[in-house]
Amino acid sequence: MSETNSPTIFTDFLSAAGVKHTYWYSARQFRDMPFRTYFGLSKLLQSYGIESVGLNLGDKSAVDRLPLPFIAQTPDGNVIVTRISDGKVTYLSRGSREEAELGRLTEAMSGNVLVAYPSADACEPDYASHHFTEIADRAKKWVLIAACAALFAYLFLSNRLYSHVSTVLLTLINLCGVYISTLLIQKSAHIKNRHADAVCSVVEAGGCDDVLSTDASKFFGIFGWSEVGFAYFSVSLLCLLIFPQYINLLALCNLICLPFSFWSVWYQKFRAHAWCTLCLCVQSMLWLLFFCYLFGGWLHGLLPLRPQLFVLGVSYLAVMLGMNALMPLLDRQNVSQP
Amino acid sequence: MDTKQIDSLLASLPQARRLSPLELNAIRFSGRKTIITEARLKRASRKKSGKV
Repeated sequence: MSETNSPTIFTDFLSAAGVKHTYWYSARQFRDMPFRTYFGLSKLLQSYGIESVGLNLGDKSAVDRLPLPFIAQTPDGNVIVTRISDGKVTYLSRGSREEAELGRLTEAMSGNVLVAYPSADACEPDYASHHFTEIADRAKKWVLIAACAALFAYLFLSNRLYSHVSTVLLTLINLCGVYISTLLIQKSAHIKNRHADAVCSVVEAGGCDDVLSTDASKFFGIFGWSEVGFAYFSVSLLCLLIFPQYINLLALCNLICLPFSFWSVWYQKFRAHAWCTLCLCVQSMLWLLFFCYLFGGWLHGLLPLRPQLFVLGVSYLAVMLGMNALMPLLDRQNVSQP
Repeated sequence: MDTKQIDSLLASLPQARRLSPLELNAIRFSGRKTIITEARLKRASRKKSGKV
């Protein structure tokens, strides 16, 4: 869970009390509280239509007579008690539901509690508008995915790429290539991705990190090979979808890139002494593409060279340069440094 | 605030008392995850008695 999505005691309490709220607004209100104390929280609760009172119990065994949920102070921090039953206590701390013996809770408590009484219509101020914003924000990602999928389907069908096995395979392999390159870019940018970690550990655990940290992971020391790979597969996929008539040019570019796979394997085995699973996947895809072009009969009419080859080359270059410009912004190591 | 609810609560807790605004403002939120375990209880009591 990212820091921006971490539960707060306020959002936990609202959830436990069944009060309508949105996470992003309520978490922000808690974060911007001038007094990060029971006093500040009681004022914040008041703005939500929830009256509260702080009590010192005196006799801590009376804790089971308090209305639920309530906030209890312990030397280690504050917990939200949500259930007391059969000598056991259920409580929330930073979004985690925990259980303990009632006796242990009363021993841990200082005796200070914050008890709340939500009114029937208690809810976040402007809840309807915030809720709409929250839904719209979540929908953005899915709308983007749906729009790309719709566009992809339209181009695939209207350009009849389904009519030949080789073009179907070329589309799928380029799609996979884009995905693998994206994982490689995330690895290079030190962005944690569990899918990338899972794939990387197939051949050699930590191999990807070892190889990507070497000087050879940069083309001429400037461009990361992950950026080159992403540019290659993304432009190839777009060209195939939009301009399938230039498939021969794509085949020629693939032929030019093939020798790189030998260098990559040689470097991993004899120089880095580590295997990068993602890098090996990219090399495999280059060869799969080659066989698709070969058996599809697309390796013909390559000469004489056409001006469109120049346009294709410039497109690869433009995307590669664009990714290279973006990488410092994506790199988590740069972001975390002051 | 529904004073009847708080009054009846206080009546059911004879040893309890209301915290003043100053006392409320002295109880801070640490932001840490709190798990109630025997080990932590022992450590807290050692800290309280000045042994840590």
